[in-house]
Amino acid sequence: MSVLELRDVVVRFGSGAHATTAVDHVDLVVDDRSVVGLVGESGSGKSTLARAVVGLAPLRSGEVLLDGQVIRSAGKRQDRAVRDRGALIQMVFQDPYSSLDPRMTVGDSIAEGIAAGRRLRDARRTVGGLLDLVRLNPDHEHLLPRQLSGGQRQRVALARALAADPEVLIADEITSALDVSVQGAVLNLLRDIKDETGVSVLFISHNLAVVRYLADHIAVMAGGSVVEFGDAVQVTEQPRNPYTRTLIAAVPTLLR
Amino acid sequence: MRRSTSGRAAVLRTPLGISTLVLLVAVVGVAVVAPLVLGSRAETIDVAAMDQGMSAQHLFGTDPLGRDLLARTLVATRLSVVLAVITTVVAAVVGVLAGALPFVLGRRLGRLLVATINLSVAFPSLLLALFLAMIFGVGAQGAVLTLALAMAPGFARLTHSTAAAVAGSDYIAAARLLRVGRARIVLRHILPNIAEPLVVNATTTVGTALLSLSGLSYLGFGVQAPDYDWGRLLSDGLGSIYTTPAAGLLPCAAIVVAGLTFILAGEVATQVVSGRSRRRGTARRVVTAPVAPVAEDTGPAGDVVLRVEDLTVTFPDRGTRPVRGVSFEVRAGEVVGVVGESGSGKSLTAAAVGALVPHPGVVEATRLDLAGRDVRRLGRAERDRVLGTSLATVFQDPMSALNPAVRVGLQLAEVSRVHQGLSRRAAAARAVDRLAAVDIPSPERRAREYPGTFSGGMRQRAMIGMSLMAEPSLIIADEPTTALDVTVQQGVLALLRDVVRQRNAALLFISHDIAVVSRIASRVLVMYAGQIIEELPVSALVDDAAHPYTRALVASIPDMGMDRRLPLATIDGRPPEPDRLPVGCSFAPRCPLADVGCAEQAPPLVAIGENRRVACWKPPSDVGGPRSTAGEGGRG
Repeated sequence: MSVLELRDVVVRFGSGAHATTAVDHVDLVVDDRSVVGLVGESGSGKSTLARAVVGLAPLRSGEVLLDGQVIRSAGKRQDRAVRDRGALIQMVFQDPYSSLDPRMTVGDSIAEGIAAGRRLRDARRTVGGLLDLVRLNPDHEHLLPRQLSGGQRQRVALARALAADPEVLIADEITSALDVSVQGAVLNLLRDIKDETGVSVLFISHNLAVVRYLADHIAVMAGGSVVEFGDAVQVTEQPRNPYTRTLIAAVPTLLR
Repeated sequence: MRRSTSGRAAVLRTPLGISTLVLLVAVVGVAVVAPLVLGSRAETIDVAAMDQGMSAQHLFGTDPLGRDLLARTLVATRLSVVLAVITTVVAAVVGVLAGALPFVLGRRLGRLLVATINLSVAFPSLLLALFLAMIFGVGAQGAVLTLALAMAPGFARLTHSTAAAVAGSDYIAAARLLRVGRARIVLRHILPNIAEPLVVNATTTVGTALLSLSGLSYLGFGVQAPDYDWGRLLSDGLGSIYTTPAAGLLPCAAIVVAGLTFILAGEVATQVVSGRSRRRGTARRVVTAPVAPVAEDTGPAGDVVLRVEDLTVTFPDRGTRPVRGVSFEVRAGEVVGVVGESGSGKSLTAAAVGALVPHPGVVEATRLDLAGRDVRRLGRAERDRVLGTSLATVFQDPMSALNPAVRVGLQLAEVSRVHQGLSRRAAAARAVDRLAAVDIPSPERRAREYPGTFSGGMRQRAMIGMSLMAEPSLIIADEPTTALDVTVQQGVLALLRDVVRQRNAALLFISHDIAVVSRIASRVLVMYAGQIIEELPVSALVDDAAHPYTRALVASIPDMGMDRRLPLATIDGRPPEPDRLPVGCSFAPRCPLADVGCAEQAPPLVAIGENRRVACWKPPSDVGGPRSTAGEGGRG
């Protein structure tokens, strides 16, 4: 069982008159083995929400729970065991050109994830096995990121996150820096991995067509709040919120 | 790897690189050899030859104890340089430790340390050294220690600021999510990534340390007799500067030469490092002042505005040719889309038209006509005028194309003042008018604001407004909507469409996203590995594309109607590297239809109908077979 739950999460930057509320009282649940798609435009707060979940942005109020246990809450520093549990939520970043250490080989990057998995929950994954999981040639272990294409780098980033054997994977716009022809392969891979490992996924994207392909449920964010949440088919076919309808109309499709 | 070595070599071949290398070899050589060869000559006291002037035996004369001045100066090289290097190493080690420590310590302690570093940077290092010399006492050891401590804050500050930039990157965030310890993050991730600027700084610092140590020795704080470095020699020789000038001048010259050598070495190291990082960046990010078009006589609508024949772009330094024999036309009032993946050559093709290919790229073409003028045959000034008056460009990132420190209205106005000679007032009025033309609300107020207050979509509108300061006959838009939100994209596309329609301009619209292109273009050029592999009307994209690559691209766009149970369509493999192009069709290794013939010979781009060309040995029969060659050599 691994359920990610956000309760009344608020993220605010700055203070006083200059404060901006990036995430405004968001409640969200990612069920065990499910994919929740989070859609919105830049500035909607979707990426900030993701960063808050993994502890890269501070909570102003609210809680993040994993399997009913609070792992992050506003203003309180959790003890070490709880913080370590937080590593069961891993994230893949948008830009594979900046999310891999340019001086570290593929194998060494992934090994950092493996070490985390071993330390935290005695997971025994190998670099070779993980490269295989993300459909990369095992020879790539000794390469540096600059010797790889964007799609291959994103696979390495995925392998590093999976190496920690996470319960929940957060994918923040993982295909928007990639060419369209590569995007499909990475999305297919993510779906296969979800089926193979049973990891729950919070999938963030600005493109509703991409989210619709992967997600069981879709949350639409605007101005820091979730304006619509529901079954993926229902949200894309019978949207209730006018903003969702705008997003659907804006999906870049070929004009026939 | 191969590229970085050639980059290094290139810098070392410049006059600066060569002279620095020669100087460095000379200084180090003297430091090693001189004490061995000239040691006795420099130190043997010869009462018979005291205070002599220049002579055949003593080229620059002798000191009061009859020792050869030239020999002493050369022998002193070793001690001077070694002390300078030791000082730098100690300063670097202490500084790097102090600069990196705040990332390991907790937040509060870290801040205290950073504040201390910042405060100590404010003290001039020589002054600090003099102060510390009181504590450490005189002598070579004391001088090295005091100077090293005085110079350490500089290293600490540099370490901290470069490390802070690295610490904000995604790969550090990823490591933190994996609960990698702070010390390990500093050692494994941060230090390796800031090593380059630190080494560069250290090289320059050797020169500075040399000067400062000489200063300390000269003042009597440093090296003590009977040892001698250049500062000591200078201090000894200065008293007799009128009788034996060489006693003072020789060590002076040595200090200058050696100091310069290390500072130049630092400069060269900077160039090597930055040259390599420049190479890592994409060639497409060329930002120039957008050009101002003046009404050019382009004749009636439908005339060819841009004619490109057999265009190639070559980078001799890398031995690559990212654009290989591209030919196409764009007519007035027409929107032509150029689609391709990153590295396909689409942006370089556009850059070649605007003479914006980054150095050292070489552009060749049998024709490159813009508004009826062959741009290649014009002199530089005339070419700039034609490009400046007929061509406008809109880039992907409006933030990097607009100067953040200049009001938007002024930036637009500058275009007209430079290229059209309008008065300040007329240009400003025109800028407001153009901002209104691109649907920017309250344009008069907006013209007085800075780009930072504009949203992404508004900035791109302002860029389009800038391109319209006069009447361009061709607008090149390179990924103009890629950085924008999907809902904003549509507005910008509509605006570009209106601009083309109302002004009868031609638009070359470049994008990796075939879906976006299909919404604005009437004709599409599909590029792959530096060549046009298909040209087709946009209406044929969905069901009637001839090239397997075009079909695969179309199929790979996720849309709202697809069956969620099926995997997304993908194109296996990746485009060929520009330095490893296959002999035959460049798409053959990824093509489901390819056979042996495809891999052996590249298909020519042939016309298969009006405004339709394809380069494929196996186009589907329903779009028609090859009829006539369009004259574009795709072979090779």
